[in-house]
Amino acid sequence: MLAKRIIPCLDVRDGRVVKGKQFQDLKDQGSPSALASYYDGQGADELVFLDVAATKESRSAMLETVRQTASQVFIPLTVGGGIRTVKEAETLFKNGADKVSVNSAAVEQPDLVVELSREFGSQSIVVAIDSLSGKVYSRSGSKKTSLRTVGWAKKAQELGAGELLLTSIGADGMQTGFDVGLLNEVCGSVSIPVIASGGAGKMEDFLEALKVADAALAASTFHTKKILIPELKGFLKEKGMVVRS
Amino acid sequence: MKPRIKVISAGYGNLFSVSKALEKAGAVLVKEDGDGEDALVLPGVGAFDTGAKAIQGLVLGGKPFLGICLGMQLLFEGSEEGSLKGIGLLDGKVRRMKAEKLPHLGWNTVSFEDSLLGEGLQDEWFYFVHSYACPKSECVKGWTEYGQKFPAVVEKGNVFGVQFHPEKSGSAGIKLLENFVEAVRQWK
Repeated sequence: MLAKRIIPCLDVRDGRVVKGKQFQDLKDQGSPSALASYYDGQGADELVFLDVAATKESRSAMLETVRQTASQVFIPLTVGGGIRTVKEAETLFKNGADKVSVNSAAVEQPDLVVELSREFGSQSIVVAIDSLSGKVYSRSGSKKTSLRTVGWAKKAQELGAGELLLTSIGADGMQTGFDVGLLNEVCGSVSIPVIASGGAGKMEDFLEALKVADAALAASTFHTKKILIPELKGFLKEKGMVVRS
Repeated sequence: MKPRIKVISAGYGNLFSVSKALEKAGAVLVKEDGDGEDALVLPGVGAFDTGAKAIQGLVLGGKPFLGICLGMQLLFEGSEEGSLKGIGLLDGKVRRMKAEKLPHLGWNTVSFEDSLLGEGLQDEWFYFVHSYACPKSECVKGWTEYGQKFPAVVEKGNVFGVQFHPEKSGSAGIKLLENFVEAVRQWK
């Protein structure tokens, strides 16, 4: 049986991890590849690197980060943040990324999703959707668009997305649970896997989200070690969920 | 001496990760235009015909050969997904899977049966991304369940194939590649 996936997300700026300062046992706390190795050892099923600066300098540092990580960590690696062209995606793939995640660029030029999936296969294209009150927001959640979340999710699948990374802006960072209502709505209208994001605070939150979604993503909950992945997986397994152990 | 392995590209596989994982498993890589290799590895993701075109004229010789994902499917005569012929070393046709959600994407377990590649890896988890599955036959040495029971591993003489991605399957994947590298070493 297919396992539900647990995915830590690393926010990276200029080749350094922005959050995750609690990792005192790592030699280099700010190194994304060191943190990636740590999570691999903990049993993370996949990793997401998000370039939160997405400037020219930060992008080229990200390439090096991806290369370094993919040389030593052998689990799927998704890279997102400011990817706007097929060429940028190709460079990431050549350096060891398995999937790219597009957000604002997909909203502003939907054809990009078509081109990316035609070029690299839909299995390697993730469309990230930031949602608040049923509407899609772009530019890191700062710009309200006219798109409805469910409609855009369906459209993204049609365009060639292989997966959706669905973040509830309202729940993000609150640690009060994933937005299960939103997950139900979106998962009910698409047939591609949906990764739940935003709001993870306790182990039960993952259980509720994963009853609906295929995977759950979190950042600070893991970075602060509020939840440890081996314990989380043990908990989920006990509750009858299929997880990789 | 470490076995020398050449990675051939067919479509858009993660060549970088496959190469790094093989090195970690104890192989030395030979450049795609180089020679003197002891074994060939064919990774690949994407459409069957794209892969079939990319490997036209490929001579396998009698060297150990490992096909990964699309690389495994290309070992067969053909696929429902395309109109071009596969390498045809194994009999039968690759067919679209019958499952609620496709692609079959994520971690799943493999039950190995008398498999060289799967030694010490019974019921371990591997990472899959595919919508088509290879036909059942006597050379199937590992099975996975997703909507149906389908071949995850084939082995026939010097020919090996895995439907999952060992280069993305953590320590279990590296161990499987070590088993392949060891098979290559013994082949020499």
